[in-house]
Order: sequence, then structure tokens, then C-alpha cells
Amino acid sequence: MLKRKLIIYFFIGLVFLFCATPSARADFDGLRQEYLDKLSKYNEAYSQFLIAKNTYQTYKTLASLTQAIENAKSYLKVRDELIIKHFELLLARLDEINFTSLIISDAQKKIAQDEITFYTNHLGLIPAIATLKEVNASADQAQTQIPSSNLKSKQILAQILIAKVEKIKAVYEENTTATEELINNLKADFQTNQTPQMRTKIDKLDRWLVEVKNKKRLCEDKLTVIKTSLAALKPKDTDLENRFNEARIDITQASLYLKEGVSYMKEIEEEMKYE
Amino acid sequence: MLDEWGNEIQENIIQKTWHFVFANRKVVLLLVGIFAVVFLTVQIIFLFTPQKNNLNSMITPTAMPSQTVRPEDRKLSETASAAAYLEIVDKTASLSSMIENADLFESALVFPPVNTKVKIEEK
Repeated sequence: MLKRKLIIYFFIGLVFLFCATPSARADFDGLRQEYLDKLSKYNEAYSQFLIAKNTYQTYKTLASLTQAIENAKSYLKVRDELIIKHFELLLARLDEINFTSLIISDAQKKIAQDEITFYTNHLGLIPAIATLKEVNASADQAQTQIPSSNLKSKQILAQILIAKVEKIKAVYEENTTATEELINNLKADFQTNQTPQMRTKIDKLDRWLVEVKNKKRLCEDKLTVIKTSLAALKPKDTDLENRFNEARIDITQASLYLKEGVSYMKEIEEEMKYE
Repeated sequence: MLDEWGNEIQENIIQKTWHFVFANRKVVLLLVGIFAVVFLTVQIIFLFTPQKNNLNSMITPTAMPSQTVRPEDRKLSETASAAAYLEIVDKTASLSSMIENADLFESALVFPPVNTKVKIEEK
């Protein structure tokens, strides 16, 4: 009786345990939430810093100077933590994407890791700051790095988006090859008993298949142009944001070519269905 | 009065539960031990198993249910290409879904709008 009870309780317990299976790893959504929390702390720290800075520059007292230094330190600390969290988010996304080239994937991860290392080291130096000169020196150090970090972040993001389009393109290519084989099979099947209508149909399917392949070529050309324009970006470009946004729009355009190609594939499939 | 009844019932339940647990303490301890072992095992498995998330399911095509061959498709169905045709139709459908669901903006990954001017003028 006891054994039977034991077995029943055991299996009920197992069912409950497998229903409640929390993930032990920090996932992307968790990191994203942490990033948003840091962003709100950053905005707060920046406001406090501005108030303290303006107070010091107005009154020039020792008390206002001390407060300005403390607020500057808090602001620099939160800024570094925010940027670190951003690159951790990028790393988490890089881990999720299956890049077609491992070299590109590893290169992007290394860039993100290097940025995290820089800001972690910078963060470690902030507690030792005691004077205004040290605050300004620390600010200068980060100031030269931030535009470069901004550019690297954009380039990593662009690689992530390009990798997604390339993944879609790879599946598109497989589908195109399979469709071509099917058309060739149809040609072979109707070789001996070909009616004029079937001949016309097969010619039409061949032409349509060329259009499907053209869409893939357009997508590839677009991606090549995007990669070239991204490689030409520099940290101090005044129109960096605009040029990067244009690249993002171009990436979407590249995927739209594939979308059009897929609608052509559907038309080919519809045409192949009927005699 | 209701409070008193409530307290009485509560004490009753607690007492009975305690008596039951104490009477079957060996069994209870054994069950707790088994639950703990299974729980830890599940956690360890999840630690080392790559997890599929929304992104992967977006960029990994999922199979759509196969279409049945209709009577008017009989010409095609008489050929050996019928199975290949249905497979391509499924793949095209999942490719279309893949393109629709792909997030090609990733607004969550934009560099934060940080201010670089932190210098405090010394006068």
C-alpha cells in the first residue's frame, strides 16, 4: 500500500516539476530588461550631474565642487555600465544567430568583447577619482572611445541583420534548386507525349524560374553594396546615423526581393499543379 | 464569530496535516529527497541544453502541414514528382512565413544615446 502511494506521489511530482522548468541562463529578454533599467538610471544620473555641474559653475563653492565631482563619478559609472549592457545584448544576439561564416561571427563577438573589456577597465578606475582634473581626464578617455564604440555597435548590428537575410537566401536557394529539379522532371515525364499546350507551359515555367533566380541575384547585389557602404563608415562621420539607417533600409529591401521571388515560386507551383 | 470558526478550522487543518506528516515522516522525507534530485537534474539538463527561442524559430523554417492531392491534380499525382511537389509547396509556405516574421530592424540593439560632454569647466 505504501509502495503504491509512493509511486503515485512520485509521478505526480515529476509532472509538476517538468511543467515548471525555469531557465537557469539569462536570456535575451532578461538582458533587455536589465538594459532598460540601466537606461532609466542613466537618464536620472545625467540629470543629477547637469544640476550639480551648473550649480558649481554658478556658485564656485567647495561644497558644490564636491557634489559635482560625486555626481560626475556616478554619471560616468552608469554610462559605462549602460554601454557594457548594450554590448552584452549584442553578444547574446550573436550567440543566437547561425552565421553562414564562423569567421564573421567570431570577429563580431571579439569586437563586442573588446568593448566590454574597455568599459569594464574604465569603470574600475572611476572610484579612484577625487579631483576635477581627474573627472575631466576620465571623461576625455571615454569621449574618444564612445564614437568608435557607436560605429562598432552599428557594424555588429548590421552583420546580424545581414546574417538573417543570408539565412533566408540560403533556404530560398534550396527551394529554387528543388523547383528547378521538379520542372526538369516534368519535362522528362512529358517528353514522349508532349502536347503543344504542355510545351508552352514548360517554356513558361522555365521563364518564370529565371525570374525567381533574378530576384536572388538582386538580393545578393544589394547585400554586396550594403557591405561596401558599411565598411566605409568612420566614427567621426557627421552623417553616420543617416548612412547607417539607409543601410538598414537597404537590408530590408534585399529581403523584399526574396519575398517577391517567393510569390513567383507560388505562381510556379500553382501553374505546375494543373494540366 | 466567523473569525473564530475560521481560526478553528485553520488550526484543525494544520493539526491534521502535521499528524499525517509526522505519522508518515519516512515516506515524506523520501519523497522530498526524490523531488530534490529530479529538480536538480532538470536544472542541470537545462543549463547545458541550447535553448530554442523566438529568434531561432523565426529564422528556422518550421514545417507546414502537407496538402492533400486534389482530384484535379491527378495528372501530377500520377508522376513520381508528386511527393517532391508537395514538399516544395510546404517549403515555400514556411519560407514565406520566415520572411514575414524576420525582424530586420532589431530596435532593441541600437547603441544607447549617451552624452559625451562630461567636462566641468575649471575657472
